[in-house]
Amino acid sequence: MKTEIIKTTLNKIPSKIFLKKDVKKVYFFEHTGGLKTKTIEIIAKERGGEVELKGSVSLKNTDDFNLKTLTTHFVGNNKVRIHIKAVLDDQAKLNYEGLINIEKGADFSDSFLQQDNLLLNDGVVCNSSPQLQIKANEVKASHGVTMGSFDQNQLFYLKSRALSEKMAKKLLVQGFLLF
Amino acid sequence: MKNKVPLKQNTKSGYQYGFSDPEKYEVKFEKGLNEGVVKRISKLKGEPDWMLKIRLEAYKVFLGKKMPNWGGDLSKIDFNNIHYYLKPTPKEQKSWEDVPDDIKNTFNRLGIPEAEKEYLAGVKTQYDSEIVYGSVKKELEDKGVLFMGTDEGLKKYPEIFRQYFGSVIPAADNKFSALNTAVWSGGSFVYVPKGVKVDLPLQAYFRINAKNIGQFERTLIIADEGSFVNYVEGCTAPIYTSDSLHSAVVEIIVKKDARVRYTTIQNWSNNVYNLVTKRAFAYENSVMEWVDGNIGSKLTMKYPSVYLLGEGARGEVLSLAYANSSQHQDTGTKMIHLAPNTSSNVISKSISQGTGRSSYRGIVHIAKNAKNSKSNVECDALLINKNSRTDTYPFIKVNNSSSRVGHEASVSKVNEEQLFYLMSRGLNEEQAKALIVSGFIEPIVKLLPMEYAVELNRLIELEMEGSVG
Repeated sequence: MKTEIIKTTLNKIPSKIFLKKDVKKVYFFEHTGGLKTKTIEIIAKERGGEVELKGSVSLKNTDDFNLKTLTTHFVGNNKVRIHIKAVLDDQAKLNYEGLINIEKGADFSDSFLQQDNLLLNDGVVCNSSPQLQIKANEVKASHGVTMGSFDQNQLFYLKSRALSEKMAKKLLVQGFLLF
Repeated sequence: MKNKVPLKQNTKSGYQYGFSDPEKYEVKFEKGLNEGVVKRISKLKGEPDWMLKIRLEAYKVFLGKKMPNWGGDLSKIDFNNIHYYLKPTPKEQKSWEDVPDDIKNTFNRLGIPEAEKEYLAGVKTQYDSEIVYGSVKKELEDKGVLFMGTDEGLKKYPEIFRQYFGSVIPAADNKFSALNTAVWSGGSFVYVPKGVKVDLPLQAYFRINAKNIGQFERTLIIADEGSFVNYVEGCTAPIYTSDSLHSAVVEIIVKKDARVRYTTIQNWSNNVYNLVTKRAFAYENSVMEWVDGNIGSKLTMKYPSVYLLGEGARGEVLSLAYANSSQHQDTGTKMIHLAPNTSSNVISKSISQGTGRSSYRGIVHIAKNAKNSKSNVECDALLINKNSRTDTYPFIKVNNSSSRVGHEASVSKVNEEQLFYLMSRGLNEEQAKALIVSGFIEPIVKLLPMEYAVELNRLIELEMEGSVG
């Protein structure tokens, strides 16, 4: 399997990504605001390919961002992994929708979506809707979403190591966004 | 001896409750719905004017609302092809001996005398839109627990109804709650006084009999501070070729420190549209648990919800959906956190077989002032055959930074290794699959009263016959 790693801005990620036989495409982005919407379709019309879409979204002030990913497995024997992390501060707003669609006959599709959100301020609005539509049964499909703030134990630990609260939080955000 | 319509075999494997009594009704309206029908229902029941007014306003709302453009396929429902009211006997009977023979036979088939002999507290049974038989045990009466049909409740306790009826689910909530508010009949009314714990489950049975009957029961449960009650409902319906509609509304108020568990095993036959609105308001430190089992019906759209209105309140939903060929179970929940330190937990297990479709549809909403709240949702779906379908449509909205939410969902088919192991132990493939499915649903089944657990496991086994190949 040939691996292609594409590290770019969210804006430059193609709106349609096609799976290709024997190729693993890994897309990676770090988005820090400036877009209103972005929709990415991942389409499997060929067997034997892999796509990974990994990225972070950091929103603050009055950023308002709609992100949508749409994965469709028309055929099987392929693998898609989507992992999106978001940090929201101030009055930022994120609307995420992620549909994984596995069509009839697309057996041996393997699709997974994870969406994690770190919320830093009571003024934020975080909406996430990961969806599944599965019409074949020889498949692996799952998704997960988490939303929350800092782990108090981790924060306490860093402060006990003489870091200020501000510095500790900064480090925890950096750690959260690491892949 | 009355004539019985013989047991019909349905295409799957025989629906053992698929019998029907020839229709014997005191009152049976012609098909169709109009303002006159609504007025007649209210007059027949001798209701106060304010209830008639509520019904008529709801009817207007119903006419104005559109059908939902999401969920299952509702296009074949013809509201004019349904009888909206029927009444099988002149009045509610207090003792089993007084109940007419054919109605008694129906309940015999459903196993009610056994249930009555056992330790159940009180049984109110409904035979097509009316409470026919009930016996409230003295123990409950002594504790001040009210458990009766909704019609009777309205007559005896109008002030409670004025206060709470429609307070949790207003007519305008959706088209079907509007319909129910206009033509409701039957259902249960439960009031548990402060500090009273009702240990034995309160039960009620439902039944749809005549062709094209709409079932519009309305249930109101109020658990006063510090109380506890477990309400159980299970229903069956015979097979008919034209489609039936079941559009119930259940409103529950769980006051401070109280706890309510509402358990349902729905097993309507495969021609029934089951479109139900169920919702609870949970106040300070209270607990509301929905245990929801959906096995039957052609299409079920049901999202038992909890509005967490008081600090420390907790909502739980344990949902089980089984969709066989030509069935669509579209179920889920709404957990709305509107107060701090509230928590919600949802476990949804679904099984799709043949060409069946099972969908989870849920909302978890944490409002800005619901600080420090927690929510966890877990959806597991099992796809038995290659034409089976499952969907998951969750919506998670969080408006503060002190709450924690987790959601996960997964889909799989019956595990090959587990299947191989069981078959190597002498079970055939069908038996092995049934056992695995039983294990899959066990966390929910173990919360059911025993006779329900047994019935449920037997139903699943029956459904799974012929699932191989």
